[in-house]
Amino acid sequence: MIARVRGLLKGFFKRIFKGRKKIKLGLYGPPNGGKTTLANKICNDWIGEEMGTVSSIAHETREVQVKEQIKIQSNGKELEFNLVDTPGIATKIDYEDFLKSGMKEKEAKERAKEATRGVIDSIKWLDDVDTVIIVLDSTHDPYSQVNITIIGNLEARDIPVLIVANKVDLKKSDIKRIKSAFPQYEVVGISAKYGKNIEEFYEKLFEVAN
Amino acid sequence: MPHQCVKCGTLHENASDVLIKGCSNCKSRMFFFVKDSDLKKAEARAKALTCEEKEDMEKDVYEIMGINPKEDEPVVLDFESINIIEPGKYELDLVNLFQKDKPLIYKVDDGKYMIDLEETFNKMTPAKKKIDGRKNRLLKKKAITKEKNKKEKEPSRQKESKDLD
Repeated sequence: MIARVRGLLKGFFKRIFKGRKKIKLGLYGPPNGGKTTLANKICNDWIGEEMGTVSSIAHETREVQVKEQIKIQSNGKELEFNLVDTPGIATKIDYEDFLKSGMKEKEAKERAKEATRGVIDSIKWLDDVDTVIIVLDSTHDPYSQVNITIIGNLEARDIPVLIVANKVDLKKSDIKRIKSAFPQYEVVGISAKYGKNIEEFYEKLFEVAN
Repeated sequence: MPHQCVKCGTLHENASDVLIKGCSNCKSRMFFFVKDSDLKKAEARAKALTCEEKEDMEKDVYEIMGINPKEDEPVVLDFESINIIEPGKYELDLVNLFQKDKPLIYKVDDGKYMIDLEETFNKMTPAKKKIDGRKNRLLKKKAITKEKNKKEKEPSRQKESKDLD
């Protein structure tokens, strides 16, 4: 009798916790796509604080940042996750690109070194994330080596993916181009900076993460 | 006093030594004299340019040269994952970096490579651990079933011996 009651209780708690599983949500993509801007938007919306600094100069995020226990709600459902903001993945890192923004040579070279280390860390973290949001700048050509390599690897690892076409507030933005480049994935167009279409983003996130 | 080499265009701010020995870059001894005021004006003009203006100028130069800068040209390296062209300039072979069974190798110069052993072992160990774990679990299972079978057989043997008695 006691064993039966114990079994029933075990099943009950199992069902509760299965419904509220905690996941690690990774933000991936090329530099300056708006990963940290989106991370800040999510954090501001649900826990009222920022995650990291943003800049117009590429490779501002050079270390993996983690914000724990973020609970979001949409249509009566709840999703709890740890948010992992990663440094931008690039094939070429050149300090001279930073010099154009007025940075001094020594500082620019250090930034390039840290950014290279950041790429390696981002890739390492892929082993620990359960769902990935790929943040792309919708004004740029999506057919790049970086995008194709990231998405191909996520597919091989069987990790659920949501593609965010960011910066839809800009004139050059082209979501259709991203949709046609990656037709097998959900693509949601947003402006992380201005919060445009963010509700649809949360809805899609529930669909992909659950 | 600033002078510019006629042959290669190198600007020598303090040219007193260069005028005697020749240009430090091409050894030419023909120089233009550049007025200090003109040099300051040129420097100020260069500093006043915005990033966009500088990028536009760069694009114009590429067009004049007939070269396509091809920023998004794929990077495919030999067996190294990261090529350090010079301090602050890196090329990353992402296909290589994403693969768990590939070691992390930096190319420092032609014929000079560095292998990050710690990182390489870390990359490769988890998969091995998993396989070892699975092996151990299978061995444990086998051992448990063997013991069970033994225990099951033992009472029946005892029964058989009793019956015989």
